[in-house]
Amino acid sequence: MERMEGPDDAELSRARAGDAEAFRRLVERHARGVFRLAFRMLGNEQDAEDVVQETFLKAWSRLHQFEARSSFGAWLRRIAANCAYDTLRRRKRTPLAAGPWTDDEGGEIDPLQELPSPTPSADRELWGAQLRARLGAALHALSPLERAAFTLRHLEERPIAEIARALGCDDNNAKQSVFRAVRKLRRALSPAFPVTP
Amino acid sequence: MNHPNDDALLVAMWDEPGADAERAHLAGCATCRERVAALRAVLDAAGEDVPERGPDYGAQVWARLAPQLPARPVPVPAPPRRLVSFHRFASFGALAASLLAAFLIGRHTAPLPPPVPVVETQVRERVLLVAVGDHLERSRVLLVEWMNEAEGGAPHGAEELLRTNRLYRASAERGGDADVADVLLELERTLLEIARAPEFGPAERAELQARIERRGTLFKVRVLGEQVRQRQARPAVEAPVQES
Ligand SMILES: [Zn+2]
Repeated sequence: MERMEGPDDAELSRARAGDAEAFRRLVERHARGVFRLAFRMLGNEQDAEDVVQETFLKAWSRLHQFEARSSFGAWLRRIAANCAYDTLRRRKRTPLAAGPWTDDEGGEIDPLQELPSPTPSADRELWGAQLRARLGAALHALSPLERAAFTLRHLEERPIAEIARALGCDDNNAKQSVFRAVRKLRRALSPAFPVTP
Repeated sequence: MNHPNDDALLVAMWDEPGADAERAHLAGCATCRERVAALRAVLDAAGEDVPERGPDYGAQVWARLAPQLPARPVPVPAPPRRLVSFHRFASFGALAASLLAAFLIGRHTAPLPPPVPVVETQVRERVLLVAVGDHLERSRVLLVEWMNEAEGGAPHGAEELLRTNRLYRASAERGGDADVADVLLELERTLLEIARAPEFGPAERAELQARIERRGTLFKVRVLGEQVRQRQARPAVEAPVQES
């Protein structure tokens, strides 16, 4: 989400007084950032679009609770993270079942051998596709808290304290969840990304 | 040399306090810098593939959002006079607001306006609780029926439930109870969508049903209704109630 603390202020005070037009400008300014966060947490466009709608709906009805201590963008992000976290918790998780890496004929390959080739090739594309598929499956298998905390820390680069507030847990819990998420992702992706001591 | 473990390396990568030793170690250790690079590769891979949204995306979001926006809650609203069900509470409209919030989350001990005698307050609280419970149950039944029908116009009573819901939501918001307000907001949005459903073709209707399903609206309404019923069933323990 763009850091736009100053430019939001005028719209904010008008929107709080019930000016929907001012709120429209805020929505237009922040919608893409909210979508990106929601998609990263959920990995699914439809769910992410639902979260975008829910986030702005809640923001509108809670505008009077917004305190200027944080930026409007950070406040929205907190609402969005919370909505997406709720969606994650309602979802059924798929247990992770990672088989060997294969080439296009189904033969087993060593992903490390495929990786170093700097030139784009069919093999390399296949490798990339498998990497994405594995990553998607691994993300899907994380617990809701692990996935939410991981997304907010590593993809949205939010500080741990803010993540803990958004997800309603304490700092240590948020941090440990990120650690666990990273460990699980690395395990799912090894040996393409070998784990070092 | 003692190399930090992966967790410590992660903290060092974050721009957070408490990892000075690890950061210093990284500056002098090529092995660990490689480990950080490998970690980063995993993390970067996880952040790829967000579908592109064009510059008019915000306008699209607004187009979907605008019809669902409830009127902004005004700081100190007068209780609306149109609703029969709310007339009974008109004499304590302001009180009702704080009571609803206090009740639904079980904060029975929340401070109440002093001039109202305890017994009278409890009676009013119960009346209000019953009204809210009734509203949630009627909404739930209407939603279940509508979700199971492939066609047909707006269900009977949706408009009235919508109006009642607005009152309760505004009460919960004024009482500062975000959890209850959220469920009522969700319900209001859904009732609004359903009330507009006659304009929808079968495909749009099916899409809306799927969306409501995904949002878990029914589940949330049922849980809140259950909480209200439990409150109703619980005897008032804070003060001895003298039956007159
Ligand atoms: Zn080292």
